[in-house]
Amino acid sequence: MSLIGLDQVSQEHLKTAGGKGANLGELIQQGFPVPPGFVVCAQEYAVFLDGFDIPANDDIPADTEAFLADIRTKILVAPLNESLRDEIKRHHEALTATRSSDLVYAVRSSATAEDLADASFAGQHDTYYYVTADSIGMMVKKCWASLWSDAAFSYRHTQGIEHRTVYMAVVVQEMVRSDVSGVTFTADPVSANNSVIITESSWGMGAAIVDGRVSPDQYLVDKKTNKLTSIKISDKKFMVPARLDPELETRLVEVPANLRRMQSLTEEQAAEIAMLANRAEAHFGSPQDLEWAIQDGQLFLLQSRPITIMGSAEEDNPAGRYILFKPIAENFTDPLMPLTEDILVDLVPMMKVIHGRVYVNFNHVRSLIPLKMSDGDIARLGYLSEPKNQNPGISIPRMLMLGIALFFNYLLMGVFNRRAAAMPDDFMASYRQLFHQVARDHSITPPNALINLFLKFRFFEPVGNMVLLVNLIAPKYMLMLRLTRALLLRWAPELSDDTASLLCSGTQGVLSTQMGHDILGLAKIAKQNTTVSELLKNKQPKDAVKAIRDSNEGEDFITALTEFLAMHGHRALKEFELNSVRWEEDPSPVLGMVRNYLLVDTNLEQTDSSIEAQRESLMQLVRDELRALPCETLGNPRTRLIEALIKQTKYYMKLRENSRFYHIMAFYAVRLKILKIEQELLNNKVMKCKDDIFYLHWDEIVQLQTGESDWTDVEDTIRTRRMEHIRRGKMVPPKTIGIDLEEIEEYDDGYDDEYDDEKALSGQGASPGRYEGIARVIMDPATDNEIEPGEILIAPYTDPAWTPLFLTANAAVIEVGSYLSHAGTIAREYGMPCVVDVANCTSKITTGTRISVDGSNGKVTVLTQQEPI
Amino acid sequence: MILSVFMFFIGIHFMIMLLAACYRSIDLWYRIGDFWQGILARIAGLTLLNGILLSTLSGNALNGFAWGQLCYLVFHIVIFWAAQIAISLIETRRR
Repeated sequence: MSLIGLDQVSQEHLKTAGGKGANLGELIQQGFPVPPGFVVCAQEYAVFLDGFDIPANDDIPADTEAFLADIRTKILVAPLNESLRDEIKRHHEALTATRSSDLVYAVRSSATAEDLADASFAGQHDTYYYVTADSIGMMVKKCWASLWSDAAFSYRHTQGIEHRTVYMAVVVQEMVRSDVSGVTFTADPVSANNSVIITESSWGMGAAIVDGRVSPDQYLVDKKTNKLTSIKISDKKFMVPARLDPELETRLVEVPANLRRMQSLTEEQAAEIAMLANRAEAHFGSPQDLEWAIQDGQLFLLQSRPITIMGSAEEDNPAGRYILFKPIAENFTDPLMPLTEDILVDLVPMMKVIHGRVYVNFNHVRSLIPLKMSDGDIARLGYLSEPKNQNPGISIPRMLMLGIALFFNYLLMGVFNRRAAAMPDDFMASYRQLFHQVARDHSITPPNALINLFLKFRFFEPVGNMVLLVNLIAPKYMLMLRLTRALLLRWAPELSDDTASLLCSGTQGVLSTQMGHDILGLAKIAKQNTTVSELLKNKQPKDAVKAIRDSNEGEDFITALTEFLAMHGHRALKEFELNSVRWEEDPSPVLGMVRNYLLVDTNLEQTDSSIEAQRESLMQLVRDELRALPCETLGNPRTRLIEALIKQTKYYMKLRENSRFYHIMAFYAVRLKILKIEQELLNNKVMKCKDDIFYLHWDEIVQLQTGESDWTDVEDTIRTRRMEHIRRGKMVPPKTIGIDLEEIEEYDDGYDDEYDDEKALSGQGASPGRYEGIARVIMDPATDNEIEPGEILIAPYTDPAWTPLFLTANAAVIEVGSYLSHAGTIAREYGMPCVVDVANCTSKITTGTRISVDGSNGKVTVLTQQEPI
Repeated sequence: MILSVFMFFIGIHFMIMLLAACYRSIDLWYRIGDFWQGILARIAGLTLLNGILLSTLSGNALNGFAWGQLCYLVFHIVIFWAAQIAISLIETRRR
């Protein structure tokens, strides 16, 4: 039996039809909607390979790369036997008798060790789409050859599978020209929670999701009730279309603007898919990972296999001891792309990138803390939580070490510290010229662009060009703020604990705060012109800008937008990541925020002036309190000291934010260079898809440029790293590596046992004040930025791209962050309460829930919980 | 001895202030028209104070102060060039 119809296959045919074929046949037998097709049985592969003389595992030559390449070539060159070709033709004719004339096939590998519970082989064997009848034979051979790819060989090797015992059947199935496709898990593959069904969907063919090329929409369905509990809509940038454009070299095309942020599944469809998934799990008796597609409203199952649970532990940690330091970790909420990791890796001496996450070397930190603290307590400090031992003693040797380190720092940075003191607001503006100069100089490679912009200083360089060093000295504001707080507590104990924080906020000239106001300014200009305003409200951003240009009515708006992008265009969401698209490249997020301001009709500037008046009256209160103290009438020494400290604190806070505004440009310069190289590689057909370059290392890119390697050499690497990146993104990174201690307990569930009220969530107060209002959960401001005035922003993290939302919101609750984080700084500037480091707040609080935020005590209370969707 | 060491550190601090004052002309060059008087006043003031100290101090105190200034100046130049060499090496490796 060389070929067998899919409808004749069942689980008993595992050895004949392979794991995928057997599962699909079983689904058809059980009445699931599976596209028709046939299986080229594994025995055909065995016959074909007879005479290739494949050695046993122990006898495989040391040069496996050459060995594998040789087998693949032999498979592709050798002809299929005539009887098999005839059988394929016969099955094809049987299928076309009842189908449309433009029938194309999906030809899919189905190894006999594939899709089993203990070895998924996900993505390692090839699948071919859009296969016409004439090329089925060749594609079958390609599938066979993929059993001998480096990745599949290596996977079998680590799993201890004898290579000669694995055979390859091939499923030839009618290709569903899908409008929407996706994957569904009947249990969370990361947490193993099996009470939920997770569906991820996007436009077009499923390859875009399976290959990790698109951020799909996500639907969570309760397994028991089959009710939708959550929907997350993503910005779906790319798709693989159902019909290929012969003019295009690449299968991946941009999703039309109006579909990018549109929900790809209706709620009914999501529920129908969940129901099918539930049935598949019940039939196979274990949690399933399904692929499905929808064509003309009809749902098809394309695959069902057991889920490989990812777990949460990383098994290959490096030697040494490392901790996640919160102020750094909050800037890297996602794992770094391989290229970003490769380019950054040498530049940060105390840090190490492990599994894509930025860790700090624990031993270095330990040697600089002059206190007798346990490893656990230092790790807790790194994560900015309270150590168990509140009163550790002082360690004299470490105190000496710290003294030496501080003195050396004084020698090293002394001149620089004084140079950066008391500079005008615009002193770092010259960095922009340096950025342009480096970005345009093609003799500077991307890794060296970062060095040029961060570290390479000349004797006669102005301090404004050394923004990274400015950023390093700016945290001294923390000391000044602490001192101000301590002095106020001593001299004016009647005033609230928040006084120092409130007085030290509201700095003029902070560029990220200014950015929020500039976006508001754009909205005001848009509002003056009805055409512009309506276009922005009703069209997708890119289309809106084009229509405004065409209308000849929005010249003012276009000019203002161009000026805005010239100033802030280097910013983006997750701006430390080279892969992040900058606003200058795609201003859609900015226009989305402008649209939000147009939709909410409110006078946001009134808030600003009232906050300033509150600060002034508080300062007057401080002056009055201090006036009553002894000797204060002799030149107001205490008042002057407090005022000087506040002034200095504000100055260094501003330096911190503004230096970040500029040093982010260095990442954009690197990105521009990478994009230029990528374009060259795409033009030369050395690379096939946009964004793949970010999965390579710099030396691999150089090899592609010089012709030492080509697409076939990096294709597997890119795919493997892409899948690994997705896997890492779903994992919760351990807070410590190489340190034997329990995870920091208070981050377990988010609800705080300290408070009697079980609806209280605890975090860290980052901006004082109290506010009660309606919550608005926003996961990604690029795709979802509508927030009503007076609502409370609930976010997973924030960076400068989130700033405009702070103008509209009246309070903020953030999942990851610290007092020093962007959210805290901006909330203090805008005078709104903010609690950061509230574990799981984006899942514990739903949009529409009434909550109260106590920014002074770091407490969030859920008052009335909104039912999930 | 204690006085020498103390004056050595004072000398270091003075040199840091003097160098920073000189660099200020570079740092504020883009707005030199607005700031030239302040820059000159700072350099002149520190030079004058330095001169007064050098001419009034004597013995160990003078030695300590002068050596502190000289050592820091050498340190500043050496560390600058050392950093440049280290960065060039990294740059070459990453090219």
